[in-house]
Amino acid sequence: MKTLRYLVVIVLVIGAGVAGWRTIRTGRRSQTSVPAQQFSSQPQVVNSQVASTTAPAGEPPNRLGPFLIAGQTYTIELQTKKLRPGSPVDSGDTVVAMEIHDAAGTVEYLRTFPYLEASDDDLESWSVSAFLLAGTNGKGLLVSYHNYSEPSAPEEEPSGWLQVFGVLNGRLVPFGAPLQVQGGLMDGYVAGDTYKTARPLDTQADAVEFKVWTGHCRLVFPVRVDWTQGKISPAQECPKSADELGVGCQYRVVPEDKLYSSDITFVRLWPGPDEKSGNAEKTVVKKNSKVDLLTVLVATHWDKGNPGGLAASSKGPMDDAGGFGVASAGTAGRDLWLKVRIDGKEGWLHSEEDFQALGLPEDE
Amino acid sequence: MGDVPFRKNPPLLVGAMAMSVCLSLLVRPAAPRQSSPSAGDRVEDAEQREGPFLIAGQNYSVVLREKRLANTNDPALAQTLAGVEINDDAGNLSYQKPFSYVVEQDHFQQNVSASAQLASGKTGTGLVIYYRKQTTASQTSATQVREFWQLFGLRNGKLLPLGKPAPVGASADGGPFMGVMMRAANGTVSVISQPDLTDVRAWTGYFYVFVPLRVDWNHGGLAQGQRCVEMLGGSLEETGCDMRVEAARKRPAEEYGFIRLLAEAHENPDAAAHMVVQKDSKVEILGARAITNWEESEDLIQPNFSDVWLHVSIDGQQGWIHGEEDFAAIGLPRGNPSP
Repeated sequence: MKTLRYLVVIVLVIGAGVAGWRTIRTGRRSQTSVPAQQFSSQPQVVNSQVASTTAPAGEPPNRLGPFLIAGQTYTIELQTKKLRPGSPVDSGDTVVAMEIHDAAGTVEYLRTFPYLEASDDDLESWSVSAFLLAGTNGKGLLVSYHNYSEPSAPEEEPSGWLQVFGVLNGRLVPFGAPLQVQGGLMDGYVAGDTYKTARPLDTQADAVEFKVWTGHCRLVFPVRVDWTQGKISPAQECPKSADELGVGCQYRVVPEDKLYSSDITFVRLWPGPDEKSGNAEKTVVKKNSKVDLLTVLVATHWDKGNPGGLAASSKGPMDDAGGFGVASAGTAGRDLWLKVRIDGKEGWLHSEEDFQALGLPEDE
Repeated sequence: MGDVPFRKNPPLLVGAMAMSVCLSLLVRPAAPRQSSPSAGDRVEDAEQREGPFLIAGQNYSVVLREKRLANTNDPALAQTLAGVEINDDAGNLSYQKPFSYVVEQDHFQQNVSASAQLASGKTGTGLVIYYRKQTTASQTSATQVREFWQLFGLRNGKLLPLGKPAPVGASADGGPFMGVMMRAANGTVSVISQPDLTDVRAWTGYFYVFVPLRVDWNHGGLAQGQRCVEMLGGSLEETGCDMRVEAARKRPAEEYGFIRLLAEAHENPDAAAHMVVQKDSKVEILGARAITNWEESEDLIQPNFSDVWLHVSIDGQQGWIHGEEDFAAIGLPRGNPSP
């Protein structure tokens, strides 16, 4: 058990280094101090000083886990390559293959990634990280994949892929295809190498919450993980047609660390998420105002991808992936409505000028 | 911006002058209608003369004929215009315009005040009559004031109203071309006429703007002073022209005023900066921009404004604002022109 703990610590140290490196490289504002393996969008830099049980001498440790699920121990083995082999400057490694092994070494799952040797102008790498997904009704693996390339524009929130694995009929299987999301894991659910589910939904399913970038804030998107059927799906049903409150779902909002900080401005607050809900009240926002982001109303999409895996004709390593997030522009309900509380006064706002006045983040 | 250039005018300000005579303005030369015989008994005639105005060596007088009601409870509607005449020195009638009036209960339905002023420039001298029509909505008791003008110049030696300003570059109805520049094949540029540029001080609903007009007093020409177009979506579209502003800000009653400041005089929710105007904020009004459409009815002309913007500086930050709420936020609520 002590060995397990040491391995977890090693993984966390690696992940933290990766997150810090990427923050410096991209200039991204760090919304949260996401630890460990969440969407580290840089090459899988591994510490060659750390001893590994699987890597040859002088090579980085390439094992994640072990993870204890339904009485079985699983590990994730990563095959990596140097991005600039032979270079005196270590520019990191990229993952070229990921295998999930059971305790006997049997490969339960395999995914491969393309390798491109980095040049002075271009760099592309893949990284993989994993958490034990611990719920009330079951346990599984939450694996995240990230692709990093240079040159690339800085993003307020990076994109990556999430994939849930669980045990069905005694075997560890994916509960669907990887799902692409601009956002990812939420701080509050991370405990060591474990990502906790938010709550049980019934006797066989748990809700797992992820953050999703909306363009101005991060909403909390609940995903239903059905441990018995081995499926994942959106935990919220959203109206598909317009009603008096518009199209879309209402979601909780991840608090923002820093909002408006100038002397004084104002936003227009409507009583409901519709300009026809009443007159907008112009509300003063001061430097010391208490601003709470309460709820968003926005249309979202869910694409389950191809649960059967990559087709023979696939060209990209994630061609089987689906995704979820805010619906694309032009979709009914794409208009983002945000419910806020400003110095005790609640209301809804939705236009760019109000988002900017409030100092909400936005893509560059 | 495709502003049609215009020269700074000589200081001819055709404006709203304080008017002592109250006149009734309805443009049909109909007989007076009275709601009751007793009201008619109380209607008195009055007359005011303005001038003489020396135009092309001839003196003219403007006679403003009015009707007055005695013992009315509504002094604002106790008099109105019944007619305007312009006579030369010999007493010959040069121009006449009757105005109908209606007595309702103990007051006139509307009250029109008017004033006459001489205007002159290098093209000659003319006459400007400014009308101010005041009505009261029966249900709300809200007063509404509208402004009209008549510009008189010489055509074929006769003093006549010049009618609606012609569009820039077009010929005034019956008058000369106004400031059209011709380029010959050899590159020579000649100007067919060089009119005077004058301003009309007109109320937008919130403040005054000075609307430029080109006028040739001795040849009876009147045209708009500027026209602005902009290339939008591959085609030229009418857009507002810059104008000088005269605004009397009222002290805001509220602690905060809220404005949406835009870098350009175009609505753009993605680019509107929110600003709070406080009681000690430094507000400067730099100018205005609006589309001006002149209308004419029965010899009277009137500018109608659309897409009205104000160029302001709030605590040192410059930008454009528009709309009733934002104008009110800097102390310019919707209202009527001052008497």
